Amino acid sequence: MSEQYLWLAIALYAGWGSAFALAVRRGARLSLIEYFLAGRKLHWLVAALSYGATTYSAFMMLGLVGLTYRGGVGALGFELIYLSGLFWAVLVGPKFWEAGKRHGCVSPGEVLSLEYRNPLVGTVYALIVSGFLIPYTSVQLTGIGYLLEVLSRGKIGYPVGLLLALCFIILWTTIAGLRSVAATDALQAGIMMVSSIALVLFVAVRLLGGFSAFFHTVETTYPQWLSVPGNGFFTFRTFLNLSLPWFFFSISNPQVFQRLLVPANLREMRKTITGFLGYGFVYTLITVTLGFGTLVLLPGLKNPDLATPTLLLEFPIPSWIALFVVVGIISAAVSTADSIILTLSSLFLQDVLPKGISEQKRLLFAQFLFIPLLCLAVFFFALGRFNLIALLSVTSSLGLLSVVPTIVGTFFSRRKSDRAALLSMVLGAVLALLQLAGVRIFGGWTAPSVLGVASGVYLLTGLLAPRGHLPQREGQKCSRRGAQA
Amino acid sequence: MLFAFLSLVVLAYLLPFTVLSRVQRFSGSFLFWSAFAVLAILLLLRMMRSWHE
Repeated sequence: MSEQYLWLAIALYAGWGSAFALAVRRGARLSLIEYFLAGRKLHWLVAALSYGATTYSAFMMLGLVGLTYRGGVGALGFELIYLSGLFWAVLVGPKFWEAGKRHGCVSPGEVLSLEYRNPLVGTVYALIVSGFLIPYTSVQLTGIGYLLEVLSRGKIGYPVGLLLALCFIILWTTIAGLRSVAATDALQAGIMMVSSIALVLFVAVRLLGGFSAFFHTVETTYPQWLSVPGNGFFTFRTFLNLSLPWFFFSISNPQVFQRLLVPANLREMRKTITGFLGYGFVYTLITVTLGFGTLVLLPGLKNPDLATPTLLLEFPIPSWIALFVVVGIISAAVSTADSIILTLSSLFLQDVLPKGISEQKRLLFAQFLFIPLLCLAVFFFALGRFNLIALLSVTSSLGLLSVVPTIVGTFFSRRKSDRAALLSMVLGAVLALLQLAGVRIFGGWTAPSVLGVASGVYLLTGLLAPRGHLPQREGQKCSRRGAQA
Repeated sequence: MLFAFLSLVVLAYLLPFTVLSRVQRFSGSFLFWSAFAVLAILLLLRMMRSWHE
């Protein structure tokens, strides 16, 4: 692919993205609610598309295509089980939204702190999720770096791709916070969907002789890819370890969990979730179908994560589709990364930074300290050039499982206690880290063990705590930390 | 509704690894998981109808 074409696509992407971000900027003085929650006035369609763009990252067109290439139909099950995990957003969402609105909270950590009546709960939550999300965010940059390097045949170096992504993230998050991020996300979600549909139609119809012939080829040439365990990649244990963290994704990942604080009312939240469910179902089917297409067209790839870029390089795909797909993948990566950076900066501001700092100073801290610092951390992590996009994404989600019992217990446990929340999160996170370091305490059942230990500790500590253990409420508003709702 | 949904998720884990593990066609696990997702979405829409402010 011509290097000039790539630069042109990047320039167009940067141009319209920045124009969108600037267009939604309001001249009025920003507040924390405005900056991190778009003033709770986001239109449901923009919110739904933004939710989709935030959820679906570079993982989809690179990692999920690669996972389908490697393991077959199990990748579809894994991703659709994730989609069904919106159940947790439906279950917890209204209570979380109500608590956030009542207290004027900006970050999920603030809601936890108030509900458990101990600010340490929010601080520990913020530190744990940040620790596990930085590798996941770096995966997004990795995706862009690899993509541009492969497509330009090495002329656009890997670090250049990372730096470009970093510029977009810093620019679009600082212009107007969630308002600019959501606006660019919405457009990016459209590009992701349209470009993937164009590519899959071209692959199936032009390169593989129509969907019927395409499916017949897969059934006759790669039948084992159509069942699980099939070719042996998706054993039940692997499938469970991969899918369980993602079943809880909608509440374990703060960048999407925080979005449940955004709607103006529950009607808007319902529309947002409904819109996202439709988007997610279609996008998943398209991506997995593309994975099967690359399997037929490009047998024997050493690194399946590069199946999509290799397809764009090796086959006579029209330039407009190829460039559209490149922009779609960059969009997916940037839209996920900027949302995570924005959410993490809100967590640092509201749950880690000492109280007593004015709202305007907090905003300056977010824009000129936390966002650039987080971006640098992500950049240096991405320089490590980790290969396995899918596995890195899922291992991040494994650690985030440790906060799930605390979140669910916040609204559904009669014996909730701050000690139970703190112990459960810390022990769950330690166990996840041990497993990531290769210590197999529970025989390789990584995800069930993290969830099981965190849940068990939460329930037991809650039961052992004396009744009425929670301290009396003091100052029920998040404004104690400067968030004047 | 809650029970129906969670049962559906359990089936999404069990059936492809048991009953459908030898069906190596698109009409096997591919179709099953797609139908599972549609049903799950419909149940979620129904659950959201009971939301009250």
